[in-house]
Parts: sequence; C-alpha cells; structure tokens
Amino acid sequence: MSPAVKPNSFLAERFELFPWSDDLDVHARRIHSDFLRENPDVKPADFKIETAKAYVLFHSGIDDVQEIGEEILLNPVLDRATAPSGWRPSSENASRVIERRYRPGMTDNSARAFEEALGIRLSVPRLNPAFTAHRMDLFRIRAGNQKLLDRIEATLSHPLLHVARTLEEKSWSDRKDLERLRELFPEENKSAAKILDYHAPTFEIRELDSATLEKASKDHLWALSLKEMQTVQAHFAKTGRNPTLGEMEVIAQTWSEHCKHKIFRGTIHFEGPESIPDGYPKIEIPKTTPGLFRTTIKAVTDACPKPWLLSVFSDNAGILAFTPQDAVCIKVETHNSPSAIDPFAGAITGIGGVHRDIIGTGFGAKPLFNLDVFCVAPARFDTDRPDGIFPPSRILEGIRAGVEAGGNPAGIPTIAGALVFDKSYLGKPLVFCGSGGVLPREIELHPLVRCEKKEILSGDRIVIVGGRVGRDGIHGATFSSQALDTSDAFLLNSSVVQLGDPFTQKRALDFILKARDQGLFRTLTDNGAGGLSSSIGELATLSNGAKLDLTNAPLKAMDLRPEEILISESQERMSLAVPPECLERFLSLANSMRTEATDMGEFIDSGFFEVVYRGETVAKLDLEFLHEGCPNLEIRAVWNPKALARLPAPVKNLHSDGDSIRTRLLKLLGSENIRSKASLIRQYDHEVQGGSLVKPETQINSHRSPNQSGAVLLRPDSEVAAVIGVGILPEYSRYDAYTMAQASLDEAIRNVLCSGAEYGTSDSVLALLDNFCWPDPLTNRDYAADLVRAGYGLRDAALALELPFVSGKDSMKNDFRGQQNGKAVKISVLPTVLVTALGRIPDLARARTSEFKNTGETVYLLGPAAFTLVGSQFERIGLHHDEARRLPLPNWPLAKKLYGWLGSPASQVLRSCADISEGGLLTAISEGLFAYELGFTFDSAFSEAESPSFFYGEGFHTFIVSLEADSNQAVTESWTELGIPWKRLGMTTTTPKLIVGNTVIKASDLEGAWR
Amino acid sequence: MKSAWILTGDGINCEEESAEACRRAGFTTEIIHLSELVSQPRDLAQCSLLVLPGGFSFGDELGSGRVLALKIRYELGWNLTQFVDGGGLVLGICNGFQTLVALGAFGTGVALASNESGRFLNEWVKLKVDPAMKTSPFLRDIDSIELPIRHGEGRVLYGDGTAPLRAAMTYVTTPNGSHAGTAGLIDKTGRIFGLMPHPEGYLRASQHPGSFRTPGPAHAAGDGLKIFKNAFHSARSL
Repeated sequence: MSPAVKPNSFLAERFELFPWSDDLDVHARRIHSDFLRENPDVKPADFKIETAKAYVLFHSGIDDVQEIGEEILLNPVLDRATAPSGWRPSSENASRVIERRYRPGMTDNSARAFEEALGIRLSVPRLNPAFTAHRMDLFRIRAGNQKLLDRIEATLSHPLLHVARTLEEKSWSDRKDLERLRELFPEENKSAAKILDYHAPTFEIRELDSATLEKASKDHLWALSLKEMQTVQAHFAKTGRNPTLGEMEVIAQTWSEHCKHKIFRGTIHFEGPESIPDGYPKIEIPKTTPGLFRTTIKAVTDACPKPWLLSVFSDNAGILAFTPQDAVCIKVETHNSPSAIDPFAGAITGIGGVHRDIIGTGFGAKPLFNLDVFCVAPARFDTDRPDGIFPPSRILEGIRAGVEAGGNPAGIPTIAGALVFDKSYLGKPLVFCGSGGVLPREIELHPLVRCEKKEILSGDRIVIVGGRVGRDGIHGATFSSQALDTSDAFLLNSSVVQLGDPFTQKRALDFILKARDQGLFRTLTDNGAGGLSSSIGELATLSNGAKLDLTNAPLKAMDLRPEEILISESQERMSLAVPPECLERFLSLANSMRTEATDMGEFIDSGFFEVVYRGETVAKLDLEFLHEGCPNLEIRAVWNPKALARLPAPVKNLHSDGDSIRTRLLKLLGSENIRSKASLIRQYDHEVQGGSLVKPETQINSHRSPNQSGAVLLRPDSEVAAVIGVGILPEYSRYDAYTMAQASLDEAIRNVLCSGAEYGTSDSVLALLDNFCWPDPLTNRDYAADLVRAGYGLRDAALALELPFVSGKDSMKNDFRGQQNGKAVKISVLPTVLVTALGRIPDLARARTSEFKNTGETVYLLGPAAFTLVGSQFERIGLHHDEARRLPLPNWPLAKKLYGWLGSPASQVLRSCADISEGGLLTAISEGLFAYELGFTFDSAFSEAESPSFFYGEGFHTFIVSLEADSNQAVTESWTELGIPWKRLGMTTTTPKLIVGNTVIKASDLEGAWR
Repeated sequence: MKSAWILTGDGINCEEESAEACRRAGFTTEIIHLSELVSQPRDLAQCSLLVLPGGFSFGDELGSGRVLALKIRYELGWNLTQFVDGGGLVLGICNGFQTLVALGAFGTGVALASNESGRFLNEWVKLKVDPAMKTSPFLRDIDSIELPIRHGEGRVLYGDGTAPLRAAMTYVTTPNGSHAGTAGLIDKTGRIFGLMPHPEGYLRASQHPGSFRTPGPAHAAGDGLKIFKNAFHSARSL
C-alpha cells in the first residue's frame, strides 16, 4: 500500500469530535468572550456558540479505518463521535452551522499530526504516505436575529486563511459523502504534477521606457523603484541579454528594503532650524550623513572594541563570549505587515523566524530565551477604526496567541518584553520578536572549530533542511517593503500569509544541533525573507558562487514554478553548506531524526549565483551586481521642532479630589501602559529549560510585583546568567526623536542593571540591539529628520556609556492608508526605537529583583532625579500640571559612575532595585509593595506638596533602591564619595499603606488599580 | 549503578533540566532520542527510572501526549506495566503525565482536558501530598511542596461512570478546574507517578520567586529535587 501518486479512486472518511458538554468547549467560550469584548452592544445571553472538530482522511483503502481513526482522534472522556441532534441545521430556528477549512496550501499542523499518527499506528513510512488528512472546524451559533448571526459568522473565518460555508439541512446530511468531500477538498482531485517541460521565461527589459518599467515593477510585486529598474536595465544592456523572470525575482528580493536596508545605507541631507527652541537638547546634527547605519550604529561598535565581542552585524545575530566555554547570541526582528493582515499568523511566523535566525547563527545555536514587544492601539478604538482593519483588541489577542503558539511549543522561555499602547499603532501594529541562543565557543569535531566562523568551500553541497516549499509566503519581503493599503493587490494575494509549524522546526533544531556536534556541516543560515533566493544568494558570497538545482526541491504544492520555488518563504527551513565527504552521514542522520534534508546543488567559486531546473538555467547573476549593484538612495530630512508650550488650563472643573495624590496615582497605576501585564505573562512559559532566575514578575501567592528585566542561566547546570532588558518610549517622538532614542537606550540599560547585570569594567559583558520602526522617511522629510536624530541619539548615548551595538533591524514603511466613514485616512506609527540590552550576571547570587523584600528597609532615590512631565504617562492620560514643559536631559558622565556602581559586586548590598520610568516615583514605589504586601512611609521631609514632576515625572538615570536598615551609612558614604546623587525617601512598613504627609493610601487599593 | 533514561525528540523540550535533576539525585543519566529507540530498540529493563519529560510532543496536536503514547505503544513496543512490575520506576512530568494518561497508566476513564480558562498558565502553586500516597517511592517524606505549573491542558477529568482516582497530589488553590484539585496521580503499584507541576523546574532555590527575600540561598537545592532523590533512593540497582 504505497502508491506514489494518488489515484482518483481515493476513498474518504470524515471523523467528527463533539465535546460532551459546554463545560469542555473552551474554544466556544473563547469565541464568545472575544466577540463580547469587541461588540459592547451585545450581551452575553444574546447568543450561544458551540464548536466541534472534524478530520477528513483521503485514503486508498485502510482496513478498519473507522476504528483506527477513532482510536487516534477520539478521547472518549472528552468528546463523542456523533453529532448531538441539535446540530442538524433547520431553516426554522435562529441557528446556523458553519464549516471551516484552511485554504488549500496553508499549513495544517493537526492534519499532519493525524497523518503521522496513522503512519505510526499502521507501521507505514511517514513520507510518501498513501493517505492525506485535513482538519476542519465546525461552529454552531444561535442568536435572536439573523443580523447578529451574520455578525458572529463574519468573525469566525479569515478569507486569507480559511474557506468557510454555512451548512443547510442537505449539506449537513451529505457532509460525509465522498462526492461532497471531494468538492470541499478540490486539491485532492486534480493530480497536481511537477512541471517537466520548463523553459525559463525572459523579462524583456531592454527596450522598456520609464513608465513601463514602473508598471512592470508594480504588476510583478517587485517593489523596485524606477531608478532601481533602470539600474537593472543598464546592467543587462551591458551583459547583452534580457534577464530571466527568475533573475528579476532574485534581484527584487535581494534589493527589497526588507533585505537590503537601503534607507539606512542611503545618504541623508539634514536641515534644522536656525536656533533650537528651549526645552530641546542642544546638539548638532551633521548636514550630510553618508549612511546612517555606518555613521551611528556601527560607528559605536567600531569605537568600543571589547574582548568578548565575537561577531557583530555580519551574521544572523550578534555573538558574545559569556564564559570560557559558552557564547550567547541575540537577535530581535519585526513582523509588522503580516501581523496587520492576520495577527496570529504574522506573530507565529515572526517568532518562528527569529528562532531560525538563532539556530542559524555561527555554527548553530540553541535558542535560550524569547523577548516580545507589542505596540498596539488601545481597545477603545475597537469601535472607532478604519475599514478593513481588525479591532485593536483582536490584534493584540491574535499577536499574543501567535507568539504563544510559536514560543511555548518550541520550549523556549519568554522572559522579557513590553506592551505599548498608542493610537498611532491603529493602522499597523508593531510586533518585535526577539530571541537569544547559547552555543559552545568551540567544537573540536566541527570543520570550523570556532563558533563565530562562517566559511564555505567551493565544492560544499547546498542542503536544505526542514519544511517543504509551498505557495505560502511568496513576495513577503517585497510586500513588507511598502505601506499597508487595504485596497492593495497584495491583500488579494493570499500567499503573503503563512502559518508556522513549531513542531517541524523543533525537530529540525534537534537534528541540526546533533549534526553540529558531530561536525557534519560547515555553515548554515535560515530561510527567511526572500526564501532560497536570499539564503543561498547570501551564502554564495562566502565561496563566491553557488549552483542551486531546484529540480529535487521538496514541495508541498507539486506544480510550483521554479521562480516560485526560488522565492517562496515557506517556514521552518534552513540552508546548510555540507562538505561533500559528510553528505551521506548528514542525510542519514536527518532521515533517522525524521527531518527532511535535500541535496540541492553545490557552492562554487565562479562569481555567479546560478539556479537551474531540469538542466535549464533559471537565473545566472553576477554576485557583485546582485549584492553591490543596488543604487544608493539620497534622502532629504528637515527638522521643524515646535515650541513646548505650557499645558492649557483644564477645560472643566475636575472632581474636588481630582488632583489628589490618591486619584492621580490610582489613575496612573490603572492606565493601559502601566497596569499589570500578568494576563499576558502567565500565558507564556517563562521557566522552561530550567534556567529561570529573574522572572517577569515576582509572584508570591496571589500577589505580584513587576521586575524590570528577565534573566536565565545559560544551562540548567550553569551559574552564569544572561539578562535581557528592553527600552521603548515612542511617546517622546511626538516631541523629539533624539530624546526618544536616548531615553529608550537608557531605559534598557537601567532595566538590566536592576536585575544584577555587570557593567563598568572592560570584561563586563553588556551589549545593545537597535530596532527602528518608522513611518516612510522617503515620502516625509519630518520622519527622515526624526530618523537621523534617533540614530545620533543612540550613537551619543552608547558612545558615552561605551556600549557596542551587536545587531539591529529596521522596518521603514509603517504607514496605513485606507478609508474611515467614507473619508481617506492615513495612519503612521510614531517613530519607534526599541533598544534591547543583553547583559551578563556573572554569578547567580548577584541577581536581584525589584520588589521590596521586608519591613524596615530604608528606601533611597538614587541618581540625578531630574524628572520632567513632557511625554510622561502623567500627561498622556490627561492629568493636569502647570509646570514649565521641557524634555528630560541626560547626564551621561554621571550615569556612567552610577551604572558602574550598580554593575559592580558592591551593589549586592541592595535588597531591591527598580528604575523610575513610566508613571514616575510613586508608581515605582507602589509596584514594589505588592509582592510581600508591604507599606511605605515617606520621611517627614516630604509632603503632599512636592511637585508633580517629583511624584510623577520621568527622566534619565534614576532608581529606587532599598537597603537593610543596618547597612546604610557605609553605602551612602560610598555613593557620596563616588559623586552619585542620592536622597533618603523613607522606610518600608508592615502596615500595607503608602503614606506621604497626611495622605494614606491602602496598598491593596494600589494593587487593585494596577491589576 | 542506578540509571535514568530521559526521553527526548518529537517535541519534548524539558529533557535537559530533567536530566540535570536525575544527575543531582545520583542517577547515571542518559538522554535518549525517540528516533534512536525506533532505529535501535532498547529494552526498558536496562533502566531504573524512565522519565517522560515536559514539552509539546507532536505539537500537542490531537490531544496532548496522545500521539507520543501511540508511538510508545506501537513503535517502541514498550509495556510500562511489565516494566514497573519488574522493579522499574516511571515519572511523567506535564506532557509526560499527559502521555501516561493517554497510555492508560491510570485506567481508561481519566483524561486531561484544556484548562477551564482555555489558556496556558505559568505560575507557582502550592501543592499538598495525600498522606496515604506517601508510601509511593516518589513521595516519601513530602507533605507539601511549591512548584511551577506551565500547561494548557492540565485539567484532570473523569468519564461518566468512572470512579475518580485518589489524587496523589492536589493544588491548594486549583488553577485549572482539575477534578478535586488533582495535580498528580500515582498508579496502583505506586511506581508510576505523573504530575502536571514541574519538579525539575525547582532544582535550586534561586528558581523560586521568593528566594530573593533572604540573601544567601541562591545556590542551595530546591524542593523539586526531593522527588528525584526519593526516586533514586527506591530505584533498583542494575
């Protein structure tokens, strides 16, 4: 029973699983609550929903298929195989039954698991099975009226992912018939065959005029500018031939903004005002910046050589030596455009992609931790949004679920992150997915021995490992290189949406690590944006050539054209260079570990990237032209700072205690950007791998205090930890991107120092990553100016602290164009920089957390405490003050002294450490009280009359720390000696109350507001 | 010599820390990939303790642990009843517990369903051990313990007409809707122990969120190790 090609006489079996009770139907409960959240006009009792699952199996004759299928699928304690009578559709009552399948070609993990289980049960080989399975979902909805039924039905499927239909009485009773199932799964009928007769189509570029060039770029979804098209035209005029379509695709992928970062490499011309207004930092920006990346980010790293920097910017991720044996690598990616279209799919592929970056770093690393940062619009925009985009709360839940589905099953703890709410993210959410990995610094058996080396020799085989190539993810790189437009042709092209398969990836990872340890490959990289065209095109530069043969590419869709195989971004694939003498052992190990590996040609040294299919040349591109031929961009930037006026007087009289400390503090603690993220944090496994040290929150029974960063040991038996902190303060971009970038960097560093990161000596391992998410700076000079200022802001701060950048990524087209209430709208994200800090805790005993530990601790304000209210959460939530408005100013020399002390063993005397960030001083103190249900009393030197900027202001370099009562004097003297400003604030108390002057607030009220 | 086998592969992901736990307890420890067992079958009788670690075997598709259970039954051909009758011990943690349930180690009428909330949950919980179950080799001298849970399908439920089992370990506050707060079950021989919480997630004091309150104990052993030490104490020598 192993026919290679399925005959049309296949049989079909449909299995259904109905939960025994509503109590077991968690899927239905989720849909119910999601719908209510997005539709405040609907009440819980207005509708009811039930769900069931179905599996369809096409096979060529399996004995006892019904029994065996049920043995595999049915858990009789939870589900029954026959539909309860209520499911039968009837035209009379207000109920509806909907059947939903994935679109053909989408990843269907449950169906693959069913096929594999059946293979195990029947003892048949997994690959080339004589059966295929499909998973479906069934929904039964009941509601008082057809209109509500329509609204609910519309939320149950996504046209880019699913095919859904409403079942009538007849289609319900026919649903198990072979004919019906064949109609439902048309891909089972046509015997999709491999393309045997292939002649590479050419693209007649040589005679085209400007208008036609531009149109061709748009029609083919290449996203190449006119200048770029003309450069290609000139190149082929010189070569004396027209390019093939395959060559055009490879060039479009390689030159996409997503892959090439043309804006960061372009020349920027900056103009500023004659004089800088008050309240802004007095800094000079050069008139011409020849490549922002080179001038700012990379310049810092060049100026800060560190003995522990093993690899920066050249590999998938930066690599840092952590111990004599181990190195740590880290990468943060963004996945914004896909997450706007389908947040779950976008986020799961985002996290899966960054895991592959880590797996493909150096000679291969094991992912050690995840970090996630989401920027979304507040839920109040659920009912006030442009056409064609999802309610922000559904986006957030989808992103959350996608990162969960990609992170938890991969066995990688999610230890750090942030959640930023701002209305500017309504059109396009920002999804930052980061991951770090650990790798041994040397493996003697490995051909390259040292972890950071990347080499390929001519003659090495090109081997692809992992998932198969499908029609999914074609043109992802070029897609994300432009603004999101709901009327765009891209949206009609379903192939930009993919779903991840963390299970296949986990298997591939297990295999790659074993193959690495046995020295069976020389180097590797991931297949991400641009698919094979990018991964092999890039690896080819190591040997100076590659000959990629697509003939034997493992396919999900057999009729894929070679050009499609070349650029498909199907997930879960890695590209490796395998020395020919290792090939047999490599392939055999892969086979035994149930990972598909395919030999697809060889690396050569011809200077060309050649692609062939059945002997026919699909592409043959000069590597130098491919990688260096893209024309340089010239960008104009104009900075127009606005004067910072005082806030207007409040419009209406506030409630009598509207400006009391209690009211203000409770409002702040409950505000969307400050309140507890416990509901998110608890859904991510943050402890798997056994190295958990500093968790996102300190949970003591049912009480929680937040920590500023996360730390994990490198291995379960290690005493050294990696600590991760993030800084993201886009609100300052409304005023000044220079300050925004500096504050974000400072925040990231402060966060890791709070948890015990070392800093201050040349051996202290502490490095930075930058992620820029920008609205298009090419069409808007203000955004271009912000970009330049942010770059210099990062440079100046990092140089002052002598901290290198080791990796970064930018995403430059975060604008949305659409319609709302019949009017055109454009929504651009706030210029957003995420700074990630990766530090080392050299001994786990030096780790610390942020919450106060006991009663009787003395609490200090440590640092310059130069707080301001512009851009603070206090202003953002509409609280009033009449102080002069200015941006916070840094003091880097002072910061260096303070951070040096915090990053030294001397700071182990601290009982707790939290930085003062969003919400200000009172928020930081409040958060420290929750875990152990403590109180805090301000010294009598402080009263309610302190200024709003003291209580709620935000700014640089300042912390709240606590000490045991008896250790104080020596410590405060050492601060004074070092020139570190400090101020005693008060003591923690047993009575769980926050007391300042005559104001007494119960800590439980504070915690209640925060949660 | 007392040997522990830690299964891995096919989506299992807690093998390293489970192996660390066994090593710290004294076992000669080996992490074995399922694919190796398929190509080179090994006799269970060669190990003293079999650990089915946590993770997402087969991506948790078709019900957590269920495909792995099929694989153990049909591809490895292992018979756990025979193994424990011959003196072996079996510990299933989280996904390993789900696999034991799917294998029928605790009878056929019990299942692990999705958490009542429908959501994955990572938090620290307080657990109580049923005094009557302290005769089990795993639970000697343990009255109560704090451990992390990290699961989406940890709700123990019984089919109609099935008499609930006596829980070996219960939550002080049930986080997932589990029947009578059941967190772990022990088979009738006492030699197969399955639990949703992660004892291998508390091998050292620093893993407990409250450990920072008292300076000093970061390097000390965590309570989760007790379960592995107990297993070592009772495991047969080979």
